[in-house]
Amino acid sequence: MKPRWLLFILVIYFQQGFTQTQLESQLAFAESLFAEEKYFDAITEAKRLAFFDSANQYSFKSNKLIGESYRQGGKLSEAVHYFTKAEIISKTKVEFFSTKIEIIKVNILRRAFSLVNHQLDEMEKDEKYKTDSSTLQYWRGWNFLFHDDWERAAEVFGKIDSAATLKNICEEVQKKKYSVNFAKGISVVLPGAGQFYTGNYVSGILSLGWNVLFGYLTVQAFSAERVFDGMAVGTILWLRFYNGNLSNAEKFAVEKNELIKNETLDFLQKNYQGLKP
Amino acid sequence: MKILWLILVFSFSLFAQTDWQRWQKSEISYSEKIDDPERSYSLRADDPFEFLLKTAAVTYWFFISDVDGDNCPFDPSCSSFFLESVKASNIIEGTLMFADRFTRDFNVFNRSDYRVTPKGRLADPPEKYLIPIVHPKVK
Amino acid sequence: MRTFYFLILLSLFPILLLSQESELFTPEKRKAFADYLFCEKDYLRASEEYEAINSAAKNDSLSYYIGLCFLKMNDYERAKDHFFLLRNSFLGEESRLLFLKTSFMLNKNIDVKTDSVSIQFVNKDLETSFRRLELAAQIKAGMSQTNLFSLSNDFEESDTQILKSFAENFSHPQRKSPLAAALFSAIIPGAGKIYTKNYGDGITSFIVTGLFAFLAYDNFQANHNTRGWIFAGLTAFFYSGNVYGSYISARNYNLEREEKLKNEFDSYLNSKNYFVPKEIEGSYK
Repeated sequence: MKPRWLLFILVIYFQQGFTQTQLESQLAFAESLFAEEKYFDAITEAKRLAFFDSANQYSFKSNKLIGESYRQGGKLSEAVHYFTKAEIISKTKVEFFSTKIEIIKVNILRRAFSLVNHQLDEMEKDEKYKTDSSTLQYWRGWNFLFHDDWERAAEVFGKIDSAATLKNICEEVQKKKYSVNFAKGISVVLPGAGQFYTGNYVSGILSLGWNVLFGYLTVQAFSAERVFDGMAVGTILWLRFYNGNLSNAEKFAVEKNELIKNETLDFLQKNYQGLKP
Repeated sequence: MKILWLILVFSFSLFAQTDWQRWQKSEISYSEKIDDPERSYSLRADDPFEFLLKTAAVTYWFFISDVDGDNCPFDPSCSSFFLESVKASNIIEGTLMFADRFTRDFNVFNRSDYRVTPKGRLADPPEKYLIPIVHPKVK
Repeated sequence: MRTFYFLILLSLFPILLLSQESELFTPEKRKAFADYLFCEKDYLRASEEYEAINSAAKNDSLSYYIGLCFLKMNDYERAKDHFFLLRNSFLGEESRLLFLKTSFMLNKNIDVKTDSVSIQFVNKDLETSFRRLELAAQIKAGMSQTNLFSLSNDFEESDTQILKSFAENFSHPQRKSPLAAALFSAIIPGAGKIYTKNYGDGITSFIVTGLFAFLAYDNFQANHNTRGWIFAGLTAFFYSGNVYGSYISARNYNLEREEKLKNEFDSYLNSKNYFVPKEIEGSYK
């Protein structure tokens, strides 16, 4: 009697062990594919794991792995989808928080500015994450950075000790940037001034030249009482070049700012050693 | 909770199409790519006539077009349209196409349907107006 | 004795462990997973799973499913090849119908005399589906209504009228003549464009050509010959451009109408789901 009873228990124990080991080795297989950068296949194996994991013991890990694989493949919407699934399944506070941060990071990369702010606001309201507020602030700073708001990013980074470098970078960028309104404003008064301000000297000289020429011709036409000619030159030629001067001033300022922004973002992506999205 | 699950599961079937082709690792760039400039100022040409035309165009762009703002509602601007149409056919047909395009530019009344490009211009490629028939390419 | 049994069982543990490692990759398990992926619309992965099982033990139903995966992904060429290979299998009828459907989707005409698959169907539903497909192809090819005999037999009552109007539009498209448009514009600048329903462009042409013609005339009258010739040149420029533009406008009008009709017909057929492929349930064979 006793051996049979013992045998029975052992068989049950081994069955559990086998199933456990099967799924564990499947997870290990999927993770090894991830490590080898074979992300498409890693997702297939993680999905296989999830499909056979009837007890949902590996659901969190499989969904997180799928999310990370999609992220590596640049498919951010799918990544968010799977991270959200993992977040719903998560059982511990640590798991929940880490997945939420992954979602926030992917949304920063997607440049979903308002969504990230909203998600961070929600987390900051939650009492459970009082101790993690500096982490949340840090990602808020990155959100401002991606949204091209360097001033507020510097402000936020200033409150975190470990982000001093980022604060300095943001302040530098803010100083380097051109004021679009200023460029447009001075161009209203003096055609070509806006282009000089942004360093486009050739365009500025040409703008100034044409505006002076047509301005002179219009005034001359009016003063010689050739009203129709004056109006024709004034509207068809002078106004066209005057408006062109304004739109160029704005365009060049915006373009220069874009360049500065892109240079800084590239620099951060390649050289910044701290935590990045 | 269950509703959220259902929504997630349902919405993924809308995503599934992305995996209908194998994909590789792709790093997302932090910086936003600046669009390629519409105009090529290069004077490289296949023949002397094209060279002359290109020189005239570049001169016009430098002295006038770049200074008087972006006034053309169409995507290849009228001057680029002229260059491309002469290149695709011949000077006579190119000129006729350009004249037609110029008239359509003056149209302040109801414009017929054009596809709108991402930059907000109206797509109007020369291929649409060539004889013999060149099937309009969708860019 | 008991200890002995216990030790034997314990020693079997690692052996059993090793043999269970690939438990998830048995054909049955792979098929179940592949079916799940198919339902999730993850067709490429599903096709790869089916392919993996198929390479170990060839099976027609798996090949059929692989064909379905390609069909669902709109990869008509590969779907067509798969269904062609299955034309004589136990799923021959369904495969032949889907082969013909993919030919239709690839805009190849279903020519009953030269096509390499038999068009005889035993299953009545499949036969009806085939006749519908054939009729759809004939409508698209512009066969006139009078020759489409079995239209009312094979389609539902509510659809027959709509299909008849499509047949009418395909066989007698309302074309605008490019030469007529050019001629109209030669007589009255802008008239050709109005003929092709580009009203704004037509009026603009008329105004611009008229304005420059007037300016040329006015300057010649006032003996300003250089200015007169300049304006005359501009008039000729816009006039000839308009004649050319009217010709092209009529031609493009016809092309766009044709394209629009084809798209409308295709989306109508899709919405009707006439050619839904059979998705076989059933155990792994």
